[in-house]
Amino acid sequence: MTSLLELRQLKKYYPIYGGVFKRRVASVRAVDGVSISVEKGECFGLVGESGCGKTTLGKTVLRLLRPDAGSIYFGVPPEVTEQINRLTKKEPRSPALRRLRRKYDIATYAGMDLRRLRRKMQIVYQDPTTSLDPRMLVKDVVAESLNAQGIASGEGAKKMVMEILERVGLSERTLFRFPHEFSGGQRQRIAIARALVSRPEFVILDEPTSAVDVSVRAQLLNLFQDLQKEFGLTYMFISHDLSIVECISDRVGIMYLGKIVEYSSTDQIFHTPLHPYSQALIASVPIPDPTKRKERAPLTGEVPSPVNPPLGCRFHPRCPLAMDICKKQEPPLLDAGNGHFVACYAVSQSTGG
Amino acid sequence: MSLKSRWEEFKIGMRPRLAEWRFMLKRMRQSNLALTGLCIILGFVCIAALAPVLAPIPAANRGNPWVIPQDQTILQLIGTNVPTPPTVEHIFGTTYLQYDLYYGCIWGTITAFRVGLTVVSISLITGLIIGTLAAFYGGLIDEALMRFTDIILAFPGLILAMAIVLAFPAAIPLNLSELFMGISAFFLLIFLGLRRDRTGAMWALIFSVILVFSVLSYLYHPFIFKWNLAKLDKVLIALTLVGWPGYARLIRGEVLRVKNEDFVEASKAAGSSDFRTITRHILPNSIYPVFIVATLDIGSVILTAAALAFIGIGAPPNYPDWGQIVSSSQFVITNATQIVRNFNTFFIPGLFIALFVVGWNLLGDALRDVLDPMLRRR
Amino acid sequence: MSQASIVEIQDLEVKFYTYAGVVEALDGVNLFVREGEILGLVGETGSGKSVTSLSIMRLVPPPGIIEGGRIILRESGKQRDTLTMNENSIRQMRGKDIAMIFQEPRAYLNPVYSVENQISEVMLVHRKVELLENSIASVQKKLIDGRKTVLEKQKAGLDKENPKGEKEKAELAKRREAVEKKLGGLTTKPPSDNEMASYRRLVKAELYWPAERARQFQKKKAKLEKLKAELEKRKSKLEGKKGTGEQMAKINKQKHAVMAWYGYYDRQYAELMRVEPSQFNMDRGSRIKGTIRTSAMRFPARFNRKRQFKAEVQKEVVKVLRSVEIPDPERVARMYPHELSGGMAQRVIIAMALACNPRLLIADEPTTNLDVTVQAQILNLVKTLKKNLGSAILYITHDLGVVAQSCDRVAVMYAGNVVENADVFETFSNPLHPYTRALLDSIPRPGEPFKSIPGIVPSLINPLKGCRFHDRCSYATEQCLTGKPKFIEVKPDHYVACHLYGGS
Repeated sequence: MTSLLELRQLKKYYPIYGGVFKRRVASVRAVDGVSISVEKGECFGLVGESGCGKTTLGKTVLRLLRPDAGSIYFGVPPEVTEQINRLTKKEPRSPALRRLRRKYDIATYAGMDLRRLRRKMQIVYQDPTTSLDPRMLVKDVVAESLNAQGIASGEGAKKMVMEILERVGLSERTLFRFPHEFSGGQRQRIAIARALVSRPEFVILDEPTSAVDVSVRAQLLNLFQDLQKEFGLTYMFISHDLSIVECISDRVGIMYLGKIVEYSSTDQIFHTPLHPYSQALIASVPIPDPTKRKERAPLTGEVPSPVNPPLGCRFHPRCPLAMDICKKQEPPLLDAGNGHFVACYAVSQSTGG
Repeated sequence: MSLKSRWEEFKIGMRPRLAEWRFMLKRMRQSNLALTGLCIILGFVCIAALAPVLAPIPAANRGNPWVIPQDQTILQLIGTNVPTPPTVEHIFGTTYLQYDLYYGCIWGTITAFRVGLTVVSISLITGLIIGTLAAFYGGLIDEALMRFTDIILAFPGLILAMAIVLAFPAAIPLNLSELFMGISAFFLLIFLGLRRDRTGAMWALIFSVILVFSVLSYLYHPFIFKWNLAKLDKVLIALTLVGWPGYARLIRGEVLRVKNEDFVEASKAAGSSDFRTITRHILPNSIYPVFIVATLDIGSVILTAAALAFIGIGAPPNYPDWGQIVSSSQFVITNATQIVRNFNTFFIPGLFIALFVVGWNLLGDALRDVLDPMLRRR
Repeated sequence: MSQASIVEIQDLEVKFYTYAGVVEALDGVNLFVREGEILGLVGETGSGKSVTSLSIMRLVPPPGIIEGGRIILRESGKQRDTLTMNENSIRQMRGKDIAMIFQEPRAYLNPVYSVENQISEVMLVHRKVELLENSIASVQKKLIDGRKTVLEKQKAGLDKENPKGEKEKAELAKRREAVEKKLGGLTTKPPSDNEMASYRRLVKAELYWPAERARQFQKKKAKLEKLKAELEKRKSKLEGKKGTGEQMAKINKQKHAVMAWYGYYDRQYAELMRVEPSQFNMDRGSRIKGTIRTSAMRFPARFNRKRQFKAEVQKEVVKVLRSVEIPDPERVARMYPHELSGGMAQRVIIAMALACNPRLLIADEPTTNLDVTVQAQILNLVKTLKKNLGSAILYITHDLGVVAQSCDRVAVMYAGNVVENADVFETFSNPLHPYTRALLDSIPRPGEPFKSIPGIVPSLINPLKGCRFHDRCSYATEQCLTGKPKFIEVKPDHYVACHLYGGS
């Protein structure tokens, strides 16, 4: 098992200040205890509705935000993983563990370590119009990480830039123009080139096809798949569009109000969703076939605010299978068989887990 | 397309920016007011450039242009408190101390540009640095800097400028050794604290050498430089100190807006240092309103300087400065019989001031109209 | 095409004159929406679907100009061309016959007014007279019911009495007769023209025009002056009178009455002078039993006309909120837009659009910005509304799944033309136009590679001659480069604009 990225109980809260002295009165619990692992070379799909915290999770993994608790292990060799697991269970406070964490847990990185990390992890944003500096030429935009990190400069940088632009399907003529002279799809390709020019290992794709036309979406998705095969990239594909995630991801995780409620391989999740929220979510996607129409909306009500999530299982006010225990305790993420993790008491009871 | 040299590359790189400038000029050409403003300012620039030709320095001044020639013959004939109307010899006439108005107005153009551009550029840079730091780092730094700015803004500008001008001594003894000691120690600490890599070590070494030398000189042979402040310099310093908070507030707002854009975060994700993010991303996108305000401000600075001169805090009476000339015609304004006969003494320099301010204002408005669609086009 | 269609667009041309050039946004659009039907208008960005919907309402923003074509509105046998109507008629049509909802719900709600205020604004523009009449009718009904109960109590009391003598019996019969006559005479009679006019003035005055308010103030002041004069007269008449004990008692009683009226006058006058004219209502503050005749409508003090009208409007607002399935509509009506979530805000917008029962509802991508579960709820709501209200809906979207789930017909647009228009089952099973086929192919299916339409969305500044799709079409022929295909009926009720099907 070569997991490139492993999150353990990752938490990110946004403080809300109020009162006379502007003290922290409450927190928006954007990410509240997420533990997943992403294998090398796979595409992990992260799905959820607005307000569930998937974008925050992506940015926290990239260390654009500082996590409040938990660990992010990136690129840890398997022997060290075992060592870390052993130490965490037996001697959680040992200095050896602390040393290992400082070396491998990127949640603890700061300063130059963090800057060096940027070479290995990159992000492609949702809206290509705002994610590219409108006052910089395309060649400067793409070469930014090379210049900022001192990887290459001048002639060397130019060569790498031209190489990567060619690879994403843009000609040399785009070098000396401004981003706003291009269409949405082309701008997104420039953003992809910017992310890949320093040959990272891990790329977070934050809804990269939401802001482009339908006809361009397929081209971009094909490009993502080709680049993944050619450069051996690992993707985390964040989206709210389930049909795309079903086609491009190897494994999928479904988030609700800051927690992962179900995660497993794509097939299992889309054919046999176990968690009631996943079932409702997948059933809500409109199928482009008029002969298959639904009479009732699968889920009623609205997503509650992440400032005051419901006690116990966060989905219990809207859940058709809610039981007493769901209102009191949060269900743990358990394996329901075949690597299919679900956080639901109803499911674990029925599978005898 | 293989690029032959860096010069070629530079030229090609500038092409899209030149296209933008051309579009901007086309828009300006379409607006009548913008053209008027531009013509006015260009006219003044010509006057300033051709000042030695238009109003030659009289031989008696021995090459110092900053003294307005007094007509001695008329002085002895009439006396000091009667200005003369325009004649062939004195095209605009003379003031009550028989200073030549024409000479004063022509060379006053240079003074006006000097005052306007110096004050605005220094206060712009200061305000920019403080505002950007406050907005980018936020938190305590933002609070501290902004409260400091608010304190300065709480004082009425003109009054504060007057107080500063009056309180400044005529000469400031600057102990250069101390200054260098302080600066090098400050930067040394910064580099020791922030950049722990090769270039940082190099800079730390340089600054420590400077520090050592300055300490030695302070102990044994301090360089004390007596900076004689002409009255006009004091006005410049005062106006700069009063003017920077406006820019700080303005750029702080813009930087706060740009800071949350995706491309700034993308730049951080690419591994840029804070300095690089600020200089290459945030500032170019937030600086347009500052330029517009700066052009309008040049006009307003001239007016304030003229106001101060009118009160008597400004250039000495024989210095070619419009405000000073207007102030010297105070007695004409208050005297009913003289006001019509000698209106040239305040009207002509006043006209110069008004045209200058209007020109900069029109230019500023034109800039705003031109830059707005360009920003919107994005 | 024209059978039972509410709106029919024929050969619509819209051009935008921008700095960069002339954008030929719509190039001969042919569209129709039938009665009681949901038409899904599908297209990518730049295809012109939003511009089409705005043209129906004549809301195309400058620098856009509608250059040609006709938009025909059919109403009970008559038809009118909206492009030739004048401003007043258009304004009456907007909101009442055709209503529109947009993409971002919270951007289209004014943040400083409550939900109730905004919905009632729409209602007051178009349905004020109807609501006014309803409120008058309800007040009259209440009055009559009240009087009826009183009279019936009287009658019961009279029935119980059992007098002995002849004179008393006759008196009782007379009284009973009087009561019966009054009971019989209780009918709701519609307010006379004068009364209606004063009502309208009152409602309009207090809601909109300061000049009217000032006039009302003057009128009340005049009436108070008259009252005072009358009181003075009576007082002086009473002063001088003297009489015997019984007469004195009567005179004293009258004097007390006059004093009481004086008190009333003082209070009214003070209130009038202190309070802004618009805030005063004519019937408040009277401690004296009985009615005060200050206007043509004789209402007792407890029925304030303005309050009744407001209550009527509020009732209607709650009714329309309930029809869009908002839970607890009374509470939601008082909320402000920032307190609403995305789904609720979109429902409020739909409620606003439905407030005047439009015949056509135009929905411009209303669920694009919403979560998929909320989208399912709103789509369900749209289907329910169509069933209950029978209004036609023009649903603009770029998501084929939404179209398949909720629409009855589909119209596909590309680069300013409608290229195909057919029943939804027909479109999905048998797409004729190459663009429609390509769109349906590009729907992602798991296990298959992603298929895309080659090329990019064209810029409409210098559009292609001939068929605008020919550079991306895999079936393009020579004809397609030069001639623009006509929009014709290829199969029964299936319209296509393509040379492959004889559109030359």
